[in-house]
Amino acid sequence: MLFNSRVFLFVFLPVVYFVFWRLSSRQLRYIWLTVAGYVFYSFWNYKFCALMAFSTLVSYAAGIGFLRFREGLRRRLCLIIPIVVDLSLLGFFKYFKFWNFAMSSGEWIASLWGMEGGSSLLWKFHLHSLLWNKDLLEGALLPVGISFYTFHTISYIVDSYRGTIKPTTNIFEFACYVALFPQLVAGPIVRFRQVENDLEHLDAANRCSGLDIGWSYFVIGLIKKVLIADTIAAVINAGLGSFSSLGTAGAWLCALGYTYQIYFDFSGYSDMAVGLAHMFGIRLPQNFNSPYKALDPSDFWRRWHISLSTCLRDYLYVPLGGNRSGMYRNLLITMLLGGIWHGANWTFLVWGGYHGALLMLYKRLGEPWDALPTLVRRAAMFLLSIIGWVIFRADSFTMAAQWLAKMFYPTSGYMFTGAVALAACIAVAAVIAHAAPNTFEMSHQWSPQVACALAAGLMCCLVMITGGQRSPFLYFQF
Amino acid sequence: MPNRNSILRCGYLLPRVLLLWALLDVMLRFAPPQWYTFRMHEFAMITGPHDLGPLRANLTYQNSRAYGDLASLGNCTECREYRPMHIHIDRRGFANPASSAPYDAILVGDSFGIGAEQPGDATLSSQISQRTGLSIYNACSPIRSISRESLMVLIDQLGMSHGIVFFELMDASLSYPRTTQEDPGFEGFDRWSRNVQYSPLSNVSRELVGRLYDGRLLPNPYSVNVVRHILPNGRPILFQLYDLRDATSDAVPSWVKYFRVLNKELRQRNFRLIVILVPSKYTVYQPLIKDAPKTNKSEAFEELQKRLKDMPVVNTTAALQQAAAEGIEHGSLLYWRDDTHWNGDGVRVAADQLQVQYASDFVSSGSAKVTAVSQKRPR
Repeated sequence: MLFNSRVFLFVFLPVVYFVFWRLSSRQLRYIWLTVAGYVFYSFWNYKFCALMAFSTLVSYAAGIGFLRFREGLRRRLCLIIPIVVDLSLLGFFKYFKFWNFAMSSGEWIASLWGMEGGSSLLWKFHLHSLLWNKDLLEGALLPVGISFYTFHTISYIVDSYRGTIKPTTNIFEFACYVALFPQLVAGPIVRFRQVENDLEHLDAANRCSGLDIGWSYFVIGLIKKVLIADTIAAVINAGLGSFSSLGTAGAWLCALGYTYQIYFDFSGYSDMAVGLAHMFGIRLPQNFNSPYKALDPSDFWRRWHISLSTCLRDYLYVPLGGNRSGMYRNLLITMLLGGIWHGANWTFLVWGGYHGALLMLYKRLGEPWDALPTLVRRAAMFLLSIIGWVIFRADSFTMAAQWLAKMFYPTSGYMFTGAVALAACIAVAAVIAHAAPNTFEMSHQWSPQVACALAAGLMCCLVMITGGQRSPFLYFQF
Repeated sequence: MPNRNSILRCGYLLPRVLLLWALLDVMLRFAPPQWYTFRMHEFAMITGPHDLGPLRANLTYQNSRAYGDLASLGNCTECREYRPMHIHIDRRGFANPASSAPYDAILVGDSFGIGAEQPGDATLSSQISQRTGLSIYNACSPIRSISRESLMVLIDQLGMSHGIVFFELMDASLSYPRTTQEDPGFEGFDRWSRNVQYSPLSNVSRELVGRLYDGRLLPNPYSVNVVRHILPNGRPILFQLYDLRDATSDAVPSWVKYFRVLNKELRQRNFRLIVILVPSKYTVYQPLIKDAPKTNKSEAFEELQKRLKDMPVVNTTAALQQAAAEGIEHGSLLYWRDDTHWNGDGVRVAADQLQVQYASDFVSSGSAKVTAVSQKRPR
């Protein structure tokens, strides 16, 4: 079920909303939100609800373990076992294809183990027969949102272990946190401590106070997704469909288009998630802070997908040693893993490596960079992020290389249908992304005129949603 | 700063926009479908009944400006042809005039047989009826014909003890595997959910969105499903991509087997089976178009006819191809320019071919009733 689908807007949301506010006790509200989360999730594949329930139970049990075992081996086991379980599930479901592909195409495992010729083939055959040809793995390999809820549970376990939070003994509260439908499948990656207070006071939530701000966030997000991101996507997907015949202008339009598409798509989703959570009395953290206003790579990652970058910082970079020892290595490892978190694709890995390299370079050459005028730094960082998105979007390295070559070496080529509309969309998107305040900088206390404009925007979105092909959010695949 | 009691604030206004939209959608379900549909076909199929017929029962669909879908799908607005459409769906969910019983024959087939976008008197059943004097029940169903079992139930429901079954088979049916003959109707929850999901307002929205995604302003994602060619007279003609597919290797044997079983079953009920083979638009016009790749469907039809030599089979391919070639010279087509279906002229050619081949059968064959009806109802 997508936020921009009819069943969500006209059935799921109204039912969940009205029942939620009819319930008075906190416990019942936890249960209701948990049930809603599982129903929401089951619209993709109900079988994977069991996986989420299992992950929830394991993490909850770990929390109980931390309460019981204050120190020692048992406490450490309560940390290690659930994390291993969660990461194993993530690794199996998300990266299985990737490793299998890597092994079968590169034969590097075989060579690594000193096998050659027949042994190598035997290894490959064995691997394929053992794992790849299972029906289970065909088609239904990637449970949607697994990267997000796995991070939720891991952050809960680690924070509980560190004593940053006190683990909850209320399983419904924890299940509600994991299965909270606004952030379930595409984030933001909410840490328990960020919503703990709101969850604890769920019975005291004020329906009216969150309604205006919630709807404002939701509709702004919907407009960003449906009217801007999807329109751009329709054009650039068609353009990239005949990528080989694109010229320099077309390649730039596609690169710029995708740069804005991914931002408006994902930040639109995040805004909708924040808005929906507000409607239920829960405040989710900011996930995007005008990333294209960033002045340098560090600044970019403080602004882009904030919930992921802070998780990577707190649960990976800092434990690796952070700035204290091996900073460059830590940066690179963190960003490579951040890249591969997005999916089982080499291009994601290289995109992570690219940003890792940018961060390393910035750490090394920060001073001269910072001496540049603000406008230059902002423009240069935007250009660097466009290059990153080309790698991210490309289907293969060959495509990425050709795409970048077309962008930087004048090439003649055809201009795809909708280029004018795309240019107009890019212009609007650029003004919003570079000059306008982001949704968290807005007061959301709108004048009647703005409220009417948002209503008109919602009407336009409804026409597009019901009359066009529904487009899933880009981050659902991650 | 908005007043908390103001109705012009997000928390009040925006959910009501959704509510208004939902109400409008519900209300439109009670409005005449021609208000929000461009033709009967898809609407009646989705909202159709549960039993035999595939279409929405007891519906009269009247649209003075019906049109086909290929022009919009294929970015060829100049190809659009508006035509009046008047069709009545009976209580069983088939396209028949309000009352024509008793019946002498049944026409089984697909959307070509239904008479998609045709006035009532131009459908295949009407045309055959005009030429033979038979009163024909049109039991055609969009996409694919009704199952053998459903046909037998229909025969019982119509109270027919003998007669003729005309089976119209479009050559596109040879392009997909004919496994089990399933009714196109949807059962139980599936049908209910389709009816709930069906949204008149979505149809209106689709029309609006289609104007934006017209292949000029924004790319039309559906255009890949349409193939455009130029006729010898210089005018464009559109085909469904699907029509360019070859017949599958097992198509002919499986249809032979099916017709033999059906024929046997019908004979036991004193019915005669007459198969009418109808070529797709592409099969008819491909020989006239330079460099258009040929499919094997004509040969498949010939093979099918050859292997069914013990039963009457009318292959309309050659007649339609010849009439198409002649029509081009006068600028007329046998199929709608903006749709994959044939128009009244195409139907007439097929009905003429049937008359040429089997006219005598209708008055001299074993069916006495047919003869009597034929004499009783001169057209």
